[in-house]
Amino acid sequence: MELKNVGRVVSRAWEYGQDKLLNLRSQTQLLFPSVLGMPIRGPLVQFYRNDEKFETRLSLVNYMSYFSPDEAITQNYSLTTYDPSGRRLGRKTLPLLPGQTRQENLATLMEGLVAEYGIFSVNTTYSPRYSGRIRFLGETSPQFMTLFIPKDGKSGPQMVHSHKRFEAWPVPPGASSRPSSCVEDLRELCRIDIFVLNSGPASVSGRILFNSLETKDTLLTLTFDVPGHGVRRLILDEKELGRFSAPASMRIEHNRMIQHRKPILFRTSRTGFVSCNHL
Amino acid sequence: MNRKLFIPSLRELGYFSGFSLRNPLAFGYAGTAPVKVLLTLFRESKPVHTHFIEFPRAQAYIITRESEWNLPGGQTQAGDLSTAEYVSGTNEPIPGDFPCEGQIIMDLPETGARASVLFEMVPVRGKGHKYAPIYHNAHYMLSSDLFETHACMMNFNIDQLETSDGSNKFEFRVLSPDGKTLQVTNRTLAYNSTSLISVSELCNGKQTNDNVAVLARGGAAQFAILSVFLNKRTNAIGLEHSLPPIYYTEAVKHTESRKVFYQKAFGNLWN
Repeated sequence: MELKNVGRVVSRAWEYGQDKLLNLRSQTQLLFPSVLGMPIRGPLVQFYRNDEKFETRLSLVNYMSYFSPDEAITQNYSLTTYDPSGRRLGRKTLPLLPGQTRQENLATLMEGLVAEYGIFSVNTTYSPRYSGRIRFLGETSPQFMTLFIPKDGKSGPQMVHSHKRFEAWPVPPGASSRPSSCVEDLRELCRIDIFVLNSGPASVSGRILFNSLETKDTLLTLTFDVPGHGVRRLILDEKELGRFSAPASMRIEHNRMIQHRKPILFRTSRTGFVSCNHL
Repeated sequence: MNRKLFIPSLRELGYFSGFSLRNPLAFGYAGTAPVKVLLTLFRESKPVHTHFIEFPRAQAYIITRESEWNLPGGQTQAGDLSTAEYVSGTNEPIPGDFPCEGQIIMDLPETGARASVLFEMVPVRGKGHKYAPIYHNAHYMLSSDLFETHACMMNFNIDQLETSDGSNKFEFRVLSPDGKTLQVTNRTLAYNSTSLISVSELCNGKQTNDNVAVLARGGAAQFAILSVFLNKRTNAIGLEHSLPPIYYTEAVKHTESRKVFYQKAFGNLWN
């Protein structure tokens, strides 16, 4: 077996083992919820930007009020922000009373503890931690949405969901290669910004391959090296986009099987409209 | 199991629809050759047009716009729903037991605005399947002087393919940030159609600059729901799909807890 395949097997086994351990923890909590509290996934992770083009708004909900409306449960959300190098900037706790939703600028919520862009994590706990009448819910997961509000007055607001876990423990190296379902007609764009996230604490390197739809030939390769819990920004400007004569697909390769392997792509049309989706 | 990519019409906002799909053969997912994509247009709830798109064997993806679909009237209309699915050379459905994610693409040619979202092809069960009721908690709505949000509800019903009869009953509840009910609207959403419902419409045309949430609950069918975020000045949009309750609670995995979940989440709407 080649060395890179050994790495892949180890990496997948690690991921499988980690999922099993988390599942075991969840099942144990459900056996003794009054002592250990109800199981809640997380923390989860997503990307923010806070620059001249976009502000990030975070939308949170006390989902327990909707899943189990006869229980008055407060949800305490905790938010942690990181800068592009993976340095932790700050942590805030935000209680959501029964029935509440909150939709606020992340920079305001974090009292300015944000960078130009980076990742943030979201966790939640219940207060009270347990009631017999919520046991039917089993493990729940924080509900949040990340909205990118444009500052140009012309683009539409953009939104991305997340159900990917923020990782505290490093994943061993092991190659991952994933074709994105995103096809871009690059001839119609004047700029692409791709933000590659690292949900884990160890650095990740890899590349994004732009391929011909017809022949699968690689037309352009962008490489990245992202520090633990960091973000790397990759830019294709008008000159580079001008090299493409047809739509292209993208393949994303990582050297570690981190949880969040879907970079966020912002496209700027030739008339200046910006929109985004994950890859 | 057959899977379909649901493609809405956003004609009310001036958009032209398109999509991209992988060629399962080129990725080694499907052994049957050749593979085609069957596009079906539903208008006024009835299938009125089909169009086939062939994959050259080595081609990895197709990207296609509605101008290539030879549509009746030349373009989609408000309320239209299109579906795209993989079929064999003899037009038999190909079971989607491989990664089946597509991309919905929306273009506004007059301004050059565009938006897209990656979206799993929806598993379509056979006739007579009993679907779970729909529970959609949109706590991320924007409604202001500049922005508006539409819930884009695509409602597919395989039992009603040949008729325009029938619809789902839905309750849309607009909630304040403190969870107080501001407005309740009941709507019927026709089978095999796209319904675009804005926050201000749910507030009886009154603009709300508050960060309201919309709780939509209603009858069972094969729904796919997108959020469409609109810049009212330019009609530029952003798109994102919703996630079903299974992403947020294990309760819907098991028969007994699922029943309790829907009883509690639906309250007096449950029957």
